[in-house]
Amino acid sequence: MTESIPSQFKENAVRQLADEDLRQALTKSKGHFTGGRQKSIDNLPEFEELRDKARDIKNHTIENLDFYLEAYEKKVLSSGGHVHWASTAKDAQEIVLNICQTVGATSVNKGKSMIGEECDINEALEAAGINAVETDLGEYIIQIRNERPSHIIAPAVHLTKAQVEESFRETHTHLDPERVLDEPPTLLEEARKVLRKKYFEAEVGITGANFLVAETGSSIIVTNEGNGDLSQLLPRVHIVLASIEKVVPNLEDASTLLRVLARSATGQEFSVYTTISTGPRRDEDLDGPEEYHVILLDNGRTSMLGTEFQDMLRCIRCGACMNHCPVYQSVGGHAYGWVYPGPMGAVLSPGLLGVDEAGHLPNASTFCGRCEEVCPVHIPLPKMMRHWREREFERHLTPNAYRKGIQLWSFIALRPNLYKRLTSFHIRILGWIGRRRGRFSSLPMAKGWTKYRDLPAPEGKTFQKQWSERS
Amino acid sequence: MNNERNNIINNIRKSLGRAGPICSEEAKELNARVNKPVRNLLPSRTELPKNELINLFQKMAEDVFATVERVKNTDEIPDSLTDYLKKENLPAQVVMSPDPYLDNTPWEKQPLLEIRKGIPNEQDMVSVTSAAGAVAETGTLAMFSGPSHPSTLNFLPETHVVVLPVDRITKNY
Repeated sequence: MTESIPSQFKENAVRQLADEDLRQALTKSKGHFTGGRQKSIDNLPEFEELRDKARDIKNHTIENLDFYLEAYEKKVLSSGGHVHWASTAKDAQEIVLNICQTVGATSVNKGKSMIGEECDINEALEAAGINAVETDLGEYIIQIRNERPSHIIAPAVHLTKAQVEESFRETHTHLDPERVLDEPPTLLEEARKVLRKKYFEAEVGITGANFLVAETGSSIIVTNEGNGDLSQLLPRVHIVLASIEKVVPNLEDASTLLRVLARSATGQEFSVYTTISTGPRRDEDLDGPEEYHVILLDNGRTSMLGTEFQDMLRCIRCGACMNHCPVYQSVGGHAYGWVYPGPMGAVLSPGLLGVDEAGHLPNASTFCGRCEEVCPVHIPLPKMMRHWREREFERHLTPNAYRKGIQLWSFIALRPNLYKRLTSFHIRILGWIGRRRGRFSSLPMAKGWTKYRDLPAPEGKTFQKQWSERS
Repeated sequence: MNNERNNIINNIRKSLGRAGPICSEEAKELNARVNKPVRNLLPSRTELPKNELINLFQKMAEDVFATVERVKNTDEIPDSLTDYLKKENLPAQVVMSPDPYLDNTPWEKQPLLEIRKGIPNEQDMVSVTSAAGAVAETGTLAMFSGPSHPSTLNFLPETHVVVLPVDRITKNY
């Protein structure tokens, strides 16, 4: 796998910024997501009120998470399913392998699952000699390219169609090399043909879950391709991989969340398929899996509960924050170096991996606040990134020059008179030196700025001075 | 596995600042929420007379590229289906759910239409099912899995034809 890791965010970002294909791919997708979202919201006058309700549902569930998980477990068991609990990604891997080995599986179909990515399930299966096949088109593309998803709902959004064509030609060597393959429909048709065969070979299907419902013991997935649905229907065994915060009290609550999910994610009124699964096939059923397993993953989430990061557990994984983030839209998802990119990743990854590993990510924000504005469950992402920055600072993980600079600034900022005198002195000096050109193309100690752009020379008086003259 | 379960549940309680399970008073309320859900806020776009509700369903479905054909009664269904198959250049060969509503449709009016009841296989190109309900809010069909409606019929064949009695159209999901 082309590895980039969160601790190398800066290096990753520099590399990604120079990637022309990435720029082209992101420019194309951005308007589609942001414009689509806006349009679907304009069509629903109740959207803002639904957002508040969605936030309240998640808050209520998280405050009573133990209760709802136990209620959910009881219902799964009574419908003939199995529930497994996994504290870590490693535990989840072992449970999956154990189930696969018990039924003698050689091939596993996967619906798109971010928890699957978080647990590196494909790698674990391959290592055990089990063939894992991603059935979501985007996931399939990145699987054959040996990459990680760069977006939580559009895993291959970083690629151009020419790159996809190239990967298909390299992988599908059994097909005619002269075939025409330069338009999205032809690519889609080819992927469908290749994948269709594999659906029937798998003994086990693994999906994620958008929601788990305590009322009925059901798992809900939303898909646009129907791939996850086939992955869980055709094989003999269905495994649901879900993190503990996916549970909601009842189907009404799930419905409210569904009303904000698709609109925030893709701008759809509703996803093409919303499938609710409850237990294995019943005696009288003609199809469906014979075994139904749910794996509930913690992986660091319980330690976010009760802290200033608890609100992050409301996240319903729509991706709106990254679609609207100027930083994500410039560096792309791979720069973040792990499963979750963009603003939600910048808050969640340090929570799951630790601030030593992912502490750089919360620094990758201009605090423009768009992420919080568009979040369907009102997660205060900028505020939480600030909390992570504070933790990074407290743990002395920030570079020395940065620390000294911040300390100097806070020393001055805490002394208003000194601040006033220093700023008005500086502004006069800089204004005088730069009076002819009106800007500086280089300045000592400001190379980080002037390397890429000029610094305008100050004109007139300081803000504080102008403010006091007005009042 | 029980250990893992208890660890996770205990960690949740500890993090939320509780020593044990939720007290019984509160648990009663939560149980009510689980077992007797109340309707949340619903979009008002469906506040329409019955006939317009059908139009809204059709518009929402067509907006996401479904095709809709209205027929007067079950007698017209076989002709409507075969016309559609012809138009789309599909074989007159369908796999159908063993469903009471479809059983009462006079398929014999189209003797050339080949019908197989049951679950689809890899080669089936067209499935025909009914739908238990439909949602005007989003143009969505609701299907319940069961012996009269195997779910693979919804996903496996590339073309899915759904017979929907209009009285099954509801406002919201």
